[in-house]
Amino acid sequence: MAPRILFSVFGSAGDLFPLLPVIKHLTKSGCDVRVATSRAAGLYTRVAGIDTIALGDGTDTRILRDPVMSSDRFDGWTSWRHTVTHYVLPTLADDVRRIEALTQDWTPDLVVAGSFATAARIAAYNLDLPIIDLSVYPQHDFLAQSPNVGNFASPFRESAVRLLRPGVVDRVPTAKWLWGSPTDVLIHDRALLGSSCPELDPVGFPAWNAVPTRPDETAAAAVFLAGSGPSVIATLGSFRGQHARATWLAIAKAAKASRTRLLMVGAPTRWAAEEFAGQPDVLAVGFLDLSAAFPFGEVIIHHGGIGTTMAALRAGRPSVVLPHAFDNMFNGRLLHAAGVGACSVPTALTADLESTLASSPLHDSAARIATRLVPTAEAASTIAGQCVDALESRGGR
Amino acid sequence: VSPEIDFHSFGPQLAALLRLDDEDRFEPTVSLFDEWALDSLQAFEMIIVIEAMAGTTVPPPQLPEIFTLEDAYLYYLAVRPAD
Repeated sequence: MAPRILFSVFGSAGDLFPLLPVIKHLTKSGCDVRVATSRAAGLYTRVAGIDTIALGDGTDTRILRDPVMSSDRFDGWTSWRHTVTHYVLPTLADDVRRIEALTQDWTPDLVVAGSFATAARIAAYNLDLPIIDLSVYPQHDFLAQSPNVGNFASPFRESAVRLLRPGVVDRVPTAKWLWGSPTDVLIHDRALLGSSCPELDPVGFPAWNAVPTRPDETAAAAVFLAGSGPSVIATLGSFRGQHARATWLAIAKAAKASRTRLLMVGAPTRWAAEEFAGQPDVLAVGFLDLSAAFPFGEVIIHHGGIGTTMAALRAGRPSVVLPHAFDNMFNGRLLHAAGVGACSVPTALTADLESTLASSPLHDSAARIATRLVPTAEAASTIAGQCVDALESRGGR
Repeated sequence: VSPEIDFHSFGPQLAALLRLDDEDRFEPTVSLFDEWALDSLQAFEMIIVIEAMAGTTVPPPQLPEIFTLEDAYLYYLAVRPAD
């Protein structure tokens, strides 16, 4: 029988996308893989033809409209705390039951859990299933080092612990069963981490670009990027861009002041068509294959999500980051430290965009770092190999 | 299971949830791409919205093909759990 692997992810595209090449790799190798994930992330796995189990009740899509979530307080930890207490916790017990019920007919030989896949982690520990933790957040390993780990999101921990089988809390550290920290596999790239987190050993960050684009939007973007004059490309992440009109206006103002054309990826197109009517130097589209588009942008303006950050690096283009929440500030600092980007705010965006456009060192560094990233296929193969090693060493078939 | 929404109410609710506040075309044949002008991201979001409206507990593995408001309503009915 084919080895069965249950992946579980809760979060944004940045949490899910690097796992999709890994899942494809494992499936091609003969593994039977299913994914338990939130409804929003589950749309991507359904597009990819992967068996998907829906977790949560769909309210996670409200995260993007939740004003409390848009916070850089405590370097993103406020938005993470709010995520787990308001969006993961309400359906956690149901999600644990759903995964435990799944295992009655389809018992996985291995559970692979992302940072916020607490339900899958609890189910795995309760059922004594082999588990490995993956993370795209190096900073989460600080949780495992903190003596005050129990104080972070304590309502979440106090509710979650009641779902664990007796005895697990005595043998598994809190940060491990709750967050998967320290992680077993860090999906990141040393070329970006630089000297940060020297104790960690990132395996690379696989890219996934098979988003559900529309041919007319892709064609319009291609024509626009082939036009005369320099272009900047801006994206604020999947879905969030639909709710960030003020930020789009600031970006458009900065592009205009910098005399560059602007391709807005993920902006609300109907609104943009009216707002920028008669301005041929501005185009808004929905989904776009960023890896294909980014090389045509002089500079990439983005929110600092890890997936977009890595896509800009792969394209060899400098970034101007407008951090929003979560890991955005951390990634912005990494880009700045690596000499391939600037961290900005909407009020300073014009100046930061102009200086980035004019900076040869930033462009040179961005071109250099692109050559030092772990290739996608190599990173996916390494992660898949670690899953197989875990299967074998932990008694899987 | 929440009460079934009839077609007459479905269109305005769907438009509101997709933040198309000024939309007033709710005929079955309305094209969601040409007339409502949904982009690819909004079309993706629409599926989550419809499944949430329907109270779907187990989404189908395949994504639906939705072009018109009638297609959207038929998908809503199809994924709605039985009473």
